[in-house]
Amino acid sequence: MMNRDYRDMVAGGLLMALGAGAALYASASYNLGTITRMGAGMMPTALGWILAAFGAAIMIGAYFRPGPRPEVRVVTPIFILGGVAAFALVIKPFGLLPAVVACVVVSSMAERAFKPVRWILLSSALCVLAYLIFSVSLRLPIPVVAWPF
Amino acid sequence: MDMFANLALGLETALSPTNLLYCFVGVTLGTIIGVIPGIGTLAAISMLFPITFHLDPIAAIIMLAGIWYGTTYGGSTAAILLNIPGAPANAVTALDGYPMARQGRGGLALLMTTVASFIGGSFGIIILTLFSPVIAGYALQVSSAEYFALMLLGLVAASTISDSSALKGLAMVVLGLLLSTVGMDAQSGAARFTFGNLALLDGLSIVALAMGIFGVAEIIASVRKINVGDIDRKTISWSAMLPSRDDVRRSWMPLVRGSSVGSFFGALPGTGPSVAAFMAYALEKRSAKEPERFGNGAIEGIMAPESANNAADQTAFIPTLSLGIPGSATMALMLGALMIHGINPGPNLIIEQPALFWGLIMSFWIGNVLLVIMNLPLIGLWVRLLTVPYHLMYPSILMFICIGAYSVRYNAFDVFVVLGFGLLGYLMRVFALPAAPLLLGFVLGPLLEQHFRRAMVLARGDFTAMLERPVTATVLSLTGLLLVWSVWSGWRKYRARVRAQQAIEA
Amino acid sequence: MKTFAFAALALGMLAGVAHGQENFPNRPVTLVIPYGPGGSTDLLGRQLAAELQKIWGQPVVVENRTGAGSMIGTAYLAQSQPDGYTLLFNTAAHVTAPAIYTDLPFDPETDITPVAMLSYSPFLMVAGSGVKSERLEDLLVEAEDRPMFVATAGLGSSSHFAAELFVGQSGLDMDIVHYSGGGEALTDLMGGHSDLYISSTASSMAAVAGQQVKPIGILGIGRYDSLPETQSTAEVGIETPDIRIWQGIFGPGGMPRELVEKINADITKVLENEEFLGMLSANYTMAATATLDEFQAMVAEEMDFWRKLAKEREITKD
Repeated sequence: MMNRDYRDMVAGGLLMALGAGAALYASASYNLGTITRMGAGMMPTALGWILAAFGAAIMIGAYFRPGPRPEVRVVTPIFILGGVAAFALVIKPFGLLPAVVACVVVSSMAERAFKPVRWILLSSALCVLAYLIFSVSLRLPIPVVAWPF
Repeated sequence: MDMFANLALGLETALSPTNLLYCFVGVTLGTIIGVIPGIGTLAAISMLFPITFHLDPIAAIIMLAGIWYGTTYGGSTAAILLNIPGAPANAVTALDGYPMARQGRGGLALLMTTVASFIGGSFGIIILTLFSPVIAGYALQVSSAEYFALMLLGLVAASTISDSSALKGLAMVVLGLLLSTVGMDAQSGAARFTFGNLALLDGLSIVALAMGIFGVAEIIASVRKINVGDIDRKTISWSAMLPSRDDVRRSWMPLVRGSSVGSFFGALPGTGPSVAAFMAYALEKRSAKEPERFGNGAIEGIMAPESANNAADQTAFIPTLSLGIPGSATMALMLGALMIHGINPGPNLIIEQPALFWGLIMSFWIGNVLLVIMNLPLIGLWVRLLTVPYHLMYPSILMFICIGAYSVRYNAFDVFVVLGFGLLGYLMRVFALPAAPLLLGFVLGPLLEQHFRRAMVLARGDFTAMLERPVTATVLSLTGLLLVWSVWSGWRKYRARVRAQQAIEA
Repeated sequence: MKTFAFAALALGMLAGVAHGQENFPNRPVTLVIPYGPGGSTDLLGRQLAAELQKIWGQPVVVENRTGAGSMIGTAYLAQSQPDGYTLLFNTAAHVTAPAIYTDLPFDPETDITPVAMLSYSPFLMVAGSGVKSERLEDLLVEAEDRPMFVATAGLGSSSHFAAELFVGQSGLDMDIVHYSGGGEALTDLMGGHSDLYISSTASSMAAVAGQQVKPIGILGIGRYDSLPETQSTAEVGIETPDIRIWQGIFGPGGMPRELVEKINADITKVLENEEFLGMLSANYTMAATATLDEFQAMVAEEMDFWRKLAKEREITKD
């Protein structure tokens, strides 16, 4: 426990910044119009300020109460999100199966253990599964393997 | 008398060996697509669409419809067992379904959602059979002003569905609304928050958003935390699946309310099973004697949304078949399967194509029965998924999520959107910000804005003209009352807590 | 050695270009549809893809790239290789949308090659349940007393421009309301929330057949065979050009002429298929007869026409 709820203070602060940023950007870039003839900017601007107000309320409320110490993971998100990124980068040039292998291997590293045999077995099994489900039965127009060069 | 003749004709059509086979193929595919997180009905149906060129139109639509409602049956499985919704319509089911699974009641939850799906689906079919033309007529009377009022009511009612502070819930609804404005504004053509990126002009993909904030965030939080040994083997046995008398007693009313809410939102073009599930859950929590049980494995919290989304799946056919107006892109494709065979859905469909109309409705019953028969034995298999080590499980889920997001429009950018929302979802978990209200805001946002703006154009900019419409005025005042009541009850709770605190300190 | 390999590669590529047309296609072809799945254009495009697949013996894969009144899909096409393996199926929105989306990342005239016209239909004006008139001449009187709403299928769509043309030429006081797609527009017409909608017969004839909306006029000069009673705008004294709504195939700019001719000839083959023609007429659409040159000239001319109208009536986005 901490004597102030720093978790919610940061959360509120971030929401406030996000809301205000969106509102300022929208009101500067898009036509606001009037309430009865709303332009493209009205809704995002209004929502941005409302979000900022909620963020401020969350932050102020948190200042006056003790709060828990949150657990933040740093390495795990890098590998999991890395797996998603690997898939996104590989799918277009190289096709489905290489993307599956890239995604599985990168995300498996979040286990923080070097298990090449397990990776090979898992990615081969998933390649077969993905091929059967998406290429054979659903006929998605994704090339199974491609070569861009 | 007429009705019986029609039903007999329908049954005869639906029970022909070919149609029965395509119904079976449809619901089987639907279940698979539903269970797998990421891949959605729209992608599946648009890929299978060319096959229907060569099929008899009745068989074609029976199969596509089977995929459509079968997906909703299967979608709750991953939501309950893995806290990852199979489709956006099942996102609320995870709120109470996943806690149930953690408490060793996963089998029970799966069994009960199958029951809820069946009852909701049956309810929807009855409405569809008896009141199709009447409801279609009423649906036409609903103008943008009423849509706006209804969406606003839904938003206010459902903004506190998550088990955390109301303020945080509201903030997340607003964030969801804000995210829904990304893309080209349909009224003015302005590109909002796209920063010159063409892929963003069409908006953020809901599949990518849901898979990111629910799926990827869940995986990040769970890796190296979930241990297979934690699950008591006994809890995945058949006997642990049977509901207690208390469970059954608690389930009745949510089923009735959920099916009704679902049938209503399903029949409105534009809203669908996702909105229906959110509304049913919100109504349940609002009307519960102990709302604090929600979010901690309350059985009402899975029965209501699962009956609602299945009822909505069936009543979505009301505007599609009797007006020729598809409520969603998936429905439009199903209509297309008829239109390429020269069949134009509309008020004359029932008269001109009785075999098709009644055959399709009868196939819904058969499909729903098939789904129950298929799902019951599968429950035993699905709960065993929990015994698969998580280090094998999560890369597989991640793969399905990526393929699913990619398959919506074959754009690698959507997979990066999953990444972005995965990060956002994880940060939201760290800061204890609820994800379900964000999804709700995102789903309702475009409806709310477009209908309000269109209503204002149709009222020539006169806001009071909108209030002169009786339904709009009623719904808007109801929204106002609900808002006042929420603030008041929140204030009362706060006062009670302060007083209790003072009593302890004194 | 390396130089030699490069030269061989370059020669090979040249050869590929030179002989490309004879064995086109030798790998899957992508047909981009700039609208969401399920709409009338999407359905027609998917069937066209199936027919071309039969002729070419190669998969023809449909990709939906939606947004900005079809301009997202067109921008994607403009960026593709002009080898015929990426084609686009679009409607007359191809000539109307550029008049509004003036900040496109491509030039709609030089970065896109019109390849073949597939089909066309008249612009049909339908009236909703709130409109009392049965004939166009009565409507003009009714609209004098009660300002009406004209629904469109979206900003920059051909129905939007048709609405602007009608309102401008008739001189009536009408408000234009944008919907997302023809389905939504027709729904509000049936409910009497808006009054008129001008679009292809393909998108509104089903609702006319179901007596959910009334056919009230043809925007253009002649009448429409299936609705012999319905007057055209030219007949009632509204000055209108001879216009139609159409569907066609496009490729990226800079496609070799022979390749364009080859694909154009294959589309003509599709239009000789009885089954496909039957499907077209079931959907109230007529098969095109325009030659490649006529189509290309028409696209350029219409693009110019709508652009002028946009300037005249001050139609802009934002």
